[in-house]
Amino acid sequence: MRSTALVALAAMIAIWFLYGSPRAGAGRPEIVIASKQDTEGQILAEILAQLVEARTPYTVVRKTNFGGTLLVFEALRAGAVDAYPEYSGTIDAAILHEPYAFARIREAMRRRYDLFVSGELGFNNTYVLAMSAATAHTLRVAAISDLARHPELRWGVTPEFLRRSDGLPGLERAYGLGTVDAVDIEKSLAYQALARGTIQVTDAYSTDGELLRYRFVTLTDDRHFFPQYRALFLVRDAAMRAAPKVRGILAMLSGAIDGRTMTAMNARVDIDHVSPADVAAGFLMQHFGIRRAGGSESTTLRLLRALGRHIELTLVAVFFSVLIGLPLGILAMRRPRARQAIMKVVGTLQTIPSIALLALMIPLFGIGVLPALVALALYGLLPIVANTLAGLRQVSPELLDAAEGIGLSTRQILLWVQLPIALPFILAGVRTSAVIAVGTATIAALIGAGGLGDFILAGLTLNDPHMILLGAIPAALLAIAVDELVYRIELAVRR
Amino acid sequence: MSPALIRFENVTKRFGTQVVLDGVTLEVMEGELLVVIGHSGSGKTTLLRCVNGLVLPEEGCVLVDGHAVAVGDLTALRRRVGYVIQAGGLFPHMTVEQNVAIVGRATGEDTARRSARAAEVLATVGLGDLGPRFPRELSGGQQHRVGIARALYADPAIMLLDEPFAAVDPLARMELQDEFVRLHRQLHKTMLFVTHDVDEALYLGDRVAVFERGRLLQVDTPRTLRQRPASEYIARFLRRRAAEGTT
Repeated sequence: MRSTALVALAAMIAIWFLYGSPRAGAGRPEIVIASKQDTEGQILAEILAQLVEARTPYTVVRKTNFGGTLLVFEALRAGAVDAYPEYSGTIDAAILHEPYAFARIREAMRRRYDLFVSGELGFNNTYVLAMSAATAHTLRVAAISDLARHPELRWGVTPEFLRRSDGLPGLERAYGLGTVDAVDIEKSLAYQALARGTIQVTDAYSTDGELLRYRFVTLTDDRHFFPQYRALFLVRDAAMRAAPKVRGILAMLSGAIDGRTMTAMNARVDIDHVSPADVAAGFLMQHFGIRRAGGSESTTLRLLRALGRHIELTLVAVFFSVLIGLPLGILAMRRPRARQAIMKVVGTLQTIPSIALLALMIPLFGIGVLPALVALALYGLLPIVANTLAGLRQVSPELLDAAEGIGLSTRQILLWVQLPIALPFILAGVRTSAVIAVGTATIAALIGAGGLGDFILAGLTLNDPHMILLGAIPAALLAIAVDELVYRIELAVRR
Repeated sequence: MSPALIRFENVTKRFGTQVVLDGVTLEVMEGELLVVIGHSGSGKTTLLRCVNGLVLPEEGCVLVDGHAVAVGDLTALRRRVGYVIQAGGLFPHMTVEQNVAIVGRATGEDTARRSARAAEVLATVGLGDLGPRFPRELSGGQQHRVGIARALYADPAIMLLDEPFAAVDPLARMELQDEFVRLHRQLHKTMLFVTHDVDEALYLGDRVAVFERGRLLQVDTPRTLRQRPASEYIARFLRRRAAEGTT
């Protein structure tokens, strides 16, 4: 049985070494292309990535699961990401806080953030209001202003739309709708509710592939309320200098994708479950006659890489949890006054939702592996500190008396008597901590740390259970393996 | 008479408001086996713990081999004074040999030397071949002998024994006592032995010190104690406990 554990450990370490941290390519510039979790972002990122791979010698690294605008934008500023697709309206509202004018945005982004703004890709993915064709027809609603006649309609809108100034509040004012009867609802549920008639109006993005699936009608924005959300790429100036051929690539894409094309590509992913990479390849083939470079990674290789990164995140995080938790546990045992404070702090850390803890790390450590590691290590502290304390406290006073009376120094008592006797307890804490780390590390993909979470998050975005399982099953197996491994060590020291 | 190896001079110790030792003056002679007896709470264990500095008195002074026991060099002192507690106080995660040789490890002796010395003291207590075992594999009586072997390891001039045989069944205890007497004659060490068992005290002690509520009532040979108890209390104490037998 012990050999099984050793094999498992050896396998984990091997995967980590082979696939964990990417090694830099032989001096070739490396372009990190990112996106948020949305389908459209992933397709656009893939288009850029594959075009760069086909037409330049640069190596492309993809990080396509960022949890939101601020996360990916911070990553871009920090240099962890070189390029990602963004929308003009988002830049205005969330980043610059100024009304849109392309030339001014380009100037402002360069001046303030050293960022290059590519030419517009050719479509405007703005908010639209969607209704079922039947309701719209019956009520004779074709434009948003028509809704003023129908205050009885129930709106189901995304939480973001409900609150943003360029969302519902502004819309109500601009069209004199009063206060509409609105509930917030998650997007995919909103479409189902709309199809079923539970709600009659929802917000959508104009290029959303789902609109095709349900055959919803979209209302004309007859007072031009919604801002322009013109797609473009944000690229770090420094990356443009290091990889000058990217400029030409971006020029190729300028104006190349119209709204109809984008909607169709989104539908291919969301409805037909074709991968964003394949959809992007189809687009490049059709428009530029580019055949996908053979270098694209197989799913197996990507999975191994994700697993390697996941193991790396877990092992390193647990290592640091032990490195910090063990001394804290010892301190808590020796200083009853410090004990309360220590237990309170590590206990509180544990109650912070993991995703919030990850978010808290970003201002301090930026984006990527480092903040994820810090968050994971902090998250795993409680079981180690608590078990170290419990283990040390259960060493009987008689033994401590004997040890002291025999003439062992405080340090020798700790190292030779207390810690060895507490070891099974401490290892049980390490085990809990490691299993927590495996689980929490899946969320670390949200801040660009990679790991198996990439598959799970991509699967969730694309509504693809197969891809979710591709990430979730190895994660579960890894948790079981880690649990079993530490348990074996525990048994061995317990004997 | 041989000189005193341990001297208590007017030692007073309080825990909070409770006086545990009340102006105790007492000498233990070189090579002597002095048994301290009293009810629980009489201060007998505290007295013993003053010798290796586990307890430091508020007033008075304890001299070991002419040197006052004080803060500072306590660890070095303790390594020169054998210490045996109830049930042996063995470390459960160490083998018998590792338990016995732990002072050698603490003072940085090499393993070969530790191994040889451990075998020597284990042979002295009649457990020559048990070195590789763990304490839990031993009988109660064997564990006590290991405790004694551990105290003998550094060949200390002084040994402190705090109710070492209290947790053993009567038959095994008699055996251990006999062996202990033999060992004392053979090694001729100065021993301070704490017990609440009157029979054990009278059987083992060269002299017996009777304690009550932190005060030394009388210290004499067993024979004198029996024949000329200093007070009615002591006479009753000896009679009653002896009549009840071992408890």
